[in-house]
Amino acid sequence: MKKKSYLLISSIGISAFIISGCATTPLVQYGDAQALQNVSTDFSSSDLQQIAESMVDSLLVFPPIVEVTNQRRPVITVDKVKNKTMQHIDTESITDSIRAKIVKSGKFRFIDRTTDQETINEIKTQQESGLVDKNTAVQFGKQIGAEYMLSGNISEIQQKNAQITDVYYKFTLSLKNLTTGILEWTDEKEIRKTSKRRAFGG
Amino acid sequence: MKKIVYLGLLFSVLVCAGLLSGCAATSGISGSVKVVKGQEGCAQESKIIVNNDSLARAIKITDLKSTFAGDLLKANAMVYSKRTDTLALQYKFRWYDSQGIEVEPESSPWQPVIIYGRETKSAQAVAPNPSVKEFKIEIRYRE
Repeated sequence: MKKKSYLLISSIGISAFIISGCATTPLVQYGDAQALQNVSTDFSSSDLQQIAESMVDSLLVFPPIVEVTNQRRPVITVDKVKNKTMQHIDTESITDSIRAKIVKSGKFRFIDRTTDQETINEIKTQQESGLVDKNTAVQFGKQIGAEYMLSGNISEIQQKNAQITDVYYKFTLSLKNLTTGILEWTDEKEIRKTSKRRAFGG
Repeated sequence: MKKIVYLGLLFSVLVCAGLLSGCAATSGISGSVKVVKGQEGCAQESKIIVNNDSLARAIKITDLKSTFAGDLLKANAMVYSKRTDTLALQYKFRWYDSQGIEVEPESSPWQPVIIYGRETKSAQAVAPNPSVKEFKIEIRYRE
């Protein structure tokens, strides 16, 4: 009988040790930045990556675009992506990812309007400070105008009841020809995320 | 008393077993296609590697194809579910140049996919740049 009690106590002790682990210090780990993230139904890094991937894939293989990019590398400017969701989403981060992928494909070139003020300051310095050799100083009015503009929207539809939260995201991106005003390409990426409250411990 | 001892033992053994087994296998199935330039145009060499028998019992890669859109490689994989219930999987494409060196290793994310019972679904992607001549798709269970 005594032996059995010892056995019971020691086995409970072992399981208690395993459950508690070494919980005295916070556990910090590097994760896989490309991994799927299932923390909540909020807009996540995985959603951003999936959107960028699917948009760029769709744009680069669209037959009329392939025809144009086979001959030359057109210049694009990126407009804002309007955030119509109830969440705070850094839409510039989405367009930055899309732009990086398109640039690396070697099919398009981009102009960046967000650094225009710095560009003007730099050219002014080159022209007016007297520090820069006149032959190498950059001239005003030599930049190339964009032929196309990328713009988009992100919206969400959310449905909820006591147990389930269902969120549907829709990201739309279009490429507009600035000369003719025609939308040369447009595509959508849909993402659905559902979270269920657990029966126990939820 | 005897009953309590046995119940206690059973409980602790179960807890230990549950905690120790905890992590499921993260390996999966991969399929690769290499575009080889021969005397009669381009040919494709495909290869499927199974690293997870449980997943191999659930799905099958039925077709692996690649075409070129302009000079960019477009990859397509057809996956068939042998199961009758819904499967939640994830997949990722990897890209290699003609020398077999991976192109932009960190560029493509894991993508979620749901395959309903006995359904065939396709996974598609486009190479990040024209240097790509070979692709690999990796499929595994969602964690």
